[in-house]
Amino acid sequence: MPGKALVAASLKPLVLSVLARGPSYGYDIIQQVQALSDGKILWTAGTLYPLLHRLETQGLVQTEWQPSEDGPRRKYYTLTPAGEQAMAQEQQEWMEVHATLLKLWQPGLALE
Amino acid sequence: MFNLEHALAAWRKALQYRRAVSADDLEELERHVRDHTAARRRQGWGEEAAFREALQHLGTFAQLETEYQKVFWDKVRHQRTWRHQLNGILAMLKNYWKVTARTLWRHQGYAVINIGGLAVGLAVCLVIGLFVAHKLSYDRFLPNADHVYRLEQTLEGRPMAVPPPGLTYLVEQQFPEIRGATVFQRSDQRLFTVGEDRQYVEGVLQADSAFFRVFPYPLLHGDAATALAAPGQIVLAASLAQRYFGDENPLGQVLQLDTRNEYVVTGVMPDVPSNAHFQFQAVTSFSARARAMRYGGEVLWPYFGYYAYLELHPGTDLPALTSRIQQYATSLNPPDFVKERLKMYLRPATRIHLYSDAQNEIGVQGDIRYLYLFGGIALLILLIACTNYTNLATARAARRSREVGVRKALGAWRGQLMTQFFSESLLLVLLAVPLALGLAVWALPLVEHLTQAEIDPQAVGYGWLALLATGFVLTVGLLSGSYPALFLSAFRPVQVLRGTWAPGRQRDALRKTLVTLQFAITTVLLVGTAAVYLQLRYVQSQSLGFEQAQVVTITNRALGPHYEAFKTALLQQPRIQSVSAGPPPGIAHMTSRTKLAEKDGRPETELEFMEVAYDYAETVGLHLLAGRTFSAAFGTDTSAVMLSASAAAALGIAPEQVGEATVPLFDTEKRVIGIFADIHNHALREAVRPLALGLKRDRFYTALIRLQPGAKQVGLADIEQAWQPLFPEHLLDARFLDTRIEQQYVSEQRLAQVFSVFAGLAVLLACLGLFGLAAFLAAQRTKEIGIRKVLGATSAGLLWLLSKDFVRLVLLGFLLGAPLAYLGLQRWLATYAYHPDLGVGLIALAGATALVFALAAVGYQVLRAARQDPAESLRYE
Repeated sequence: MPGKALVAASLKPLVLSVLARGPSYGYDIIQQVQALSDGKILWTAGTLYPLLHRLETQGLVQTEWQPSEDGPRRKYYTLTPAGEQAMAQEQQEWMEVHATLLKLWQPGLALE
Repeated sequence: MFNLEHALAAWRKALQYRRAVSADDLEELERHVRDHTAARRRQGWGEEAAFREALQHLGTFAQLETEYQKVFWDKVRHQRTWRHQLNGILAMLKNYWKVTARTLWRHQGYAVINIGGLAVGLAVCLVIGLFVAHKLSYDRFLPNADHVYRLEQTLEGRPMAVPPPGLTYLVEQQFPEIRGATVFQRSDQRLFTVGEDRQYVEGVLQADSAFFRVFPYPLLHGDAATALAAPGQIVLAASLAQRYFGDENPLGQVLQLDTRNEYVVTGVMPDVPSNAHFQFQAVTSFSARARAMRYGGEVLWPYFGYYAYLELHPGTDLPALTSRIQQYATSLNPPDFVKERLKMYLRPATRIHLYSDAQNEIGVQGDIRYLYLFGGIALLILLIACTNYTNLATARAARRSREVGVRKALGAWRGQLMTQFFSESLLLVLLAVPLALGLAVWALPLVEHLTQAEIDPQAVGYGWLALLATGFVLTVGLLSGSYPALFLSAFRPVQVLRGTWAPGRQRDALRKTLVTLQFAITTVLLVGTAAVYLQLRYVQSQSLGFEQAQVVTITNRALGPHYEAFKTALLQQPRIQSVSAGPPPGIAHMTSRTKLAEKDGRPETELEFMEVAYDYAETVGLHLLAGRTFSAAFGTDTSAVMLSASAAAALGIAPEQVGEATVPLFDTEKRVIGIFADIHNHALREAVRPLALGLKRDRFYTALIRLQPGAKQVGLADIEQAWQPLFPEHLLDARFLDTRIEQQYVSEQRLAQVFSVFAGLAVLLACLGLFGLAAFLAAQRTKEIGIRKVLGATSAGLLWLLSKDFVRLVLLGFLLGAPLAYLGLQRWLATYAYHPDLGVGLIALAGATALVFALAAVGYQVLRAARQDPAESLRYE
C-alpha cells in the first residue's frame, strides 16, 4: 500500500489513464485501479469524486448522466481533448521520474 | 430486518443538507454505494454487510465533506461568478436606492424641489424636442421624399415659388433625369355644395393628372392613374368624403364647386398629414384651359404659373441639372428684362417648410431659426434644472459626509461610491420622468397653440420619442450626478469621521459659478421676453397712416361684375359710411411694382402701385395733404394718379404742382391729382415705400366698407342685408381690416408668448434652486446666527449678512447675461424698420426683476433663520 503522499500524487494520472481507455464512472474506476494494482491501491469515494469534479471544472473531463437498470442514474466521465493532452503530459512526467529511479537503482551505476 | 432502501434513505438524509454536496453529487454517491453493495452481493455477501462495507469505502462523513468542500469553492468561483457578482451589484443598488429613498423621505422639501425642477426641465425639453422633431419630419412621409423638388425662379432678385407658365412641360420633355412632373395651383378656399350642404372648404388643389405620381398618396378608393385624367373630376380627402357621403363609397357622386362647376368624385385619399408643407382637402382635375396652358409648349414670360414639382431619378446630379435648366430657360427667349436676372432653381421638397424664403409660398412657412431658438431655450432650462440638482446635492454634502466616511471605512472604494451617487441621480431623474411625461402631455396643446403647429407624436414616430426620452434621462442623470459623484466620493474618511472636515472653498466656487450661470440665462430670457412684448406693443400702437378700424373687407370672385350694384345696395343700409374697392392697405396685398427710369435729373424710382375704386381714400381713411381724391365728377380720373408723400418727394413733385405735374406710369403720362400722407402698406418689418394709386372702374374682387363708428355687429348685419339678394349662392365672408393687419404679427405674438412662458419657467426653476440652497445654507449657519443674535445683531443686519452672497451672485449673473442679451436684442430689432428704442433701460429692468425674484426666494429662508429664537438655535446639538 503506497504512502499517503504518493497516493495523492498518483491520483490524477491514474484517473486520467483509466479514462483514456474509455468513458467510465466512479465505482468502476475504483474497481479497475484496485484490480490492476492487485488490491494495493484502494481509494475511497470521498477521495475520487471530488477529484473528478475538479477535473471537470478544469475542463479535462466532461460528464454525462446515463439511466441505470435500478435507482439513481449513473454519471459517466469522458476525457476531453484538453484531458487527453493533460494525460500525455502526466505520462511524460511519470516516465521521466520512473526512468531516473530505474537508473539510480541500477546496480553498478557510477555517479561522476 | 435490514432494508436497503430505508438504510439508503437514512444515509441520504445525513448528507443532503451539506452545502458542499449537491443533489447531483449525492445521486452519484448513492449510485456508487448501490454498485458496491450489488457487487458484494454477487460475491455472496449478506445485504447489510455489503451495505456497511460500501459505506466504509466512502470514507467518513467528515472526510467526505472536507474533500467535497475543497472542490466546492473551486466550483463556486468557476461556475457562479457572474451570478454572484450580479447578486452583489443588485444588493448594492438596492442599498443605494434605499438610502436615497430614505434621504428623500426625510428631506421632502429637498425632494420636491429636485424632482419637481427636473420634471419641469424634462417636460420642457420633451415638448420642445417633440416640436423640433415634428418640424424636421416635414414631408418625410413621402416614400420618394428625397427625390421630389420644386421648380422655382428668382425674378428681379425676388425668389418666387413658381416658374413661368408653360415652362414646366418643356423642361420635363427636355431632361431625361426628370422621372415625373406635376403642376397645380392651390385655392385657399372654395365653396362646396352637396345638396343643401354648403360650406367653404379650405385648401383645394387644381392639379394635372400626374399629381399622384409625384405625390404618391395611396388612394383609398379609385385609381390614382385616372382619377385626375379628365376635366371635372375630384379626389376628396377621407374626412371630407366622410362628411359628405358617410361610410358609403363616394365614387361617382357629384359635387358643385363655386356655384358653377360640377365635379365627379373619382377618388378618396387619406387625409394629408399635418407635417406636409402644403395642406389640402380635395384635388380637382385640370380644366381644359389649364391643360392647354400646361401642355401648350409656350412659355408666358414674365408671369407666374402654377406650382411645379418634379420627381428626379435617384442619383441625379442636382447642381448640373439646375444649371442646365437655367441655360435652357434663358435659351427660350424670355424678354430682356427677365433674361438679365432670371435664375431657375430646384428646391428639395423636404427643405421647403423650414428653409424656403420664396414669395407666394404654398403653405404656412416654418422657420429654422425658431427651431434653433426654441432648442436653445430648452437646453438652457434643462441646464438650470440640472444645476439645481448639482447645487443642492453638494450643499447637502456635509450631511452625507458621515455616510460616505462610514462606507469608506467599511471598505467601499471610490468607484462604488461614484456608482452610488450616479444611481441616486438616475433614480431622481427616473422619478421625475413620469411627472415630466404628465406635464408634457398636459402642456402639449398649449405649445401647439403657442407655436401654431399641430404636433403629432405619431407622425414623428414613437421609436424616436422613446429614444429621445431615454437619451434625456441618461444625459440628465449623468450630467447632474457627475459633480456630486466626484466630489462626495473624494472625502477622506479619517477627516470626516473625526469631524475635522470643513466645507471647502472649491465646492463653494462651483456652486457660485452655477448660480451665476443660472441668473445669466434668466437675464437673457427676461430681456428677450420684454423686448418682444414691447416691440409688439409698439407696432400695434403705431399709426399706419390710415384708419383701419371699422373697415370691413370682402373678397369674392363673384363680386367682379356686380361691384357697382353691391355698392348701391350697401349705401342704402343705415350703418354703412362709405364703400370702395381695391387692395386693402396695410397688408401688402395685390400691389404691383413699377420702376420709373431716370429722367431730367430725377433719380430712378421704384413705385408701388395699386388700382382702386372711387372713394378709396375716404373709405380707408387716407390723410390727404394736397389736391383731391378720385371723383366721378371728373371724367378724366382714369388717367390720374394719387401719390404718397414719399412718392411725391422722390419724384420731385411739390404740393403746389398737384393738378399739373404728370408721372409716366405703364407707358402713359398720368396727372397727379392728390398727395396723401405715407402709409405703412407692409408689416413694420419693412420701411415705407413710395406708393401710387390709380383708378379702376370694374373687375374688383375685394370690396372695402367703412361702418359707422361704434357699429360693428349691426354693421355686419347691414352688409349681409345687401349681400343676400345679390349673391344668394355665395356665403358672405366679411373680415375686419384691423384684425387682418394684426394677423401679420402673429409670429411676433407667438414668440412673445413662448418667450414669456419659458422665461417664466426659467425664473421659477432658478428661484426654486435658490430657495433650496438658501434653506441649506441657513441651516448650516444656525449656530452662527444664534451667536450673532445673542451678541446683539438685528434681524435686518442678519438678513443682509445672509443674502448679500446671493445678491452678489445674481448681480454677477446679470452682468454676464446683459451683454449677450443686448447683442441679441440689437440683432433682432435690426430686422424691423420700425422699432422703439430698447436698450439699457430694458436690460436693467430685466436685471432688477431677476434680483427681486431671487431676493424673494432667499429672503423667506433667511428671514426664518434670522427670526429663530437663539435659545433654540444654540441648543440644537
